[in-house]
Amino acid sequence: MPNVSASSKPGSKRSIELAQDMEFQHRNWNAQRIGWVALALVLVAAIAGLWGSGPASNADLAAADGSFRIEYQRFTRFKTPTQLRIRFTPQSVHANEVRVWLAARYALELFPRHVVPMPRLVEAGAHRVTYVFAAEAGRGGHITFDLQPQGIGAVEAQVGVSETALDFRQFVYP
Amino acid sequence: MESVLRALAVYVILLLVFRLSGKRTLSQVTTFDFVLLLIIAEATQQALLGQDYSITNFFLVVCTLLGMDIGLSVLKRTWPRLDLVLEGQPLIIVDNGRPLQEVMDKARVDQDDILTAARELHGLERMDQVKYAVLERSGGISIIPK
Repeated sequence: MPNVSASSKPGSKRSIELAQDMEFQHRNWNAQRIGWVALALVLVAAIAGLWGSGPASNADLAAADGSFRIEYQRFTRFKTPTQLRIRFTPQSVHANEVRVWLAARYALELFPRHVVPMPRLVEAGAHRVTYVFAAEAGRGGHITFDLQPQGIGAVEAQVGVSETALDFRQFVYP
Repeated sequence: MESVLRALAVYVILLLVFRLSGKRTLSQVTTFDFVLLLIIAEATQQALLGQDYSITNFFLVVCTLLGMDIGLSVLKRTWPRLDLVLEGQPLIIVDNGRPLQEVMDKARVDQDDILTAARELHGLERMDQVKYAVLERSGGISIIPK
């Protein structure tokens, strides 16, 4: 490490036995300033919801035939509960029940831990897990799933009511 | 967003509560003071994490806490008054061997505390060997011997 004096007078020596590398120090301070900017950007992104939980993360989609709409989080985090809400219209209710399903692989990736209200029965299928709820004819309602991501990364999601499906994507942070 | 708000709230609450509780609480004079600090740290953990144990949450909480610290330290350089409000000031409690009783009473420091510091720091025996004693911002007492 060069023994460089920071004094403005060239060749002046200090009595203290301490080597100083001011060039390194200035690079250090510059790196710190850059780090602070990065930190500020991380926090702004967090408040915006890009890391989950916030305006940028809240999403909703409507089915093409208008029979239901969903509200979900675009960005979620590993093993942290996230909600999926399905609002169905009266046209989804048949024989006093509404059939809401999740694609089987989606249910494996975002594991449903609770459903409100409780379904009357649940059908396990090769490609779908179908939840059958009691419903009043001529009236809509909403179903809320409490999901827990079991893996990290992009998730291809598919949910549906009766025979109408909705595809969307979510991302799970570690 | 929730991570940032939680961490912000914890930071501000801790700052306020410790600032209002006065200096001596922080100085860990006794084993109990140390234990109290540990218990408070435990209580803080749940508020910071909530139900979210992901690495992302940890990252955001740490960024928020450090960001607040860095931000405040930069602001203190711009407004020295802020430094006074947030950290307090060192207080002279013994002036030329003479204890300043009103200041000591308000700061909840007694002569025994000063003599303990005098013994530990400089091996002094009596109060009249102390030129100045200062209650530092950390809550500790520094001694300048005669």
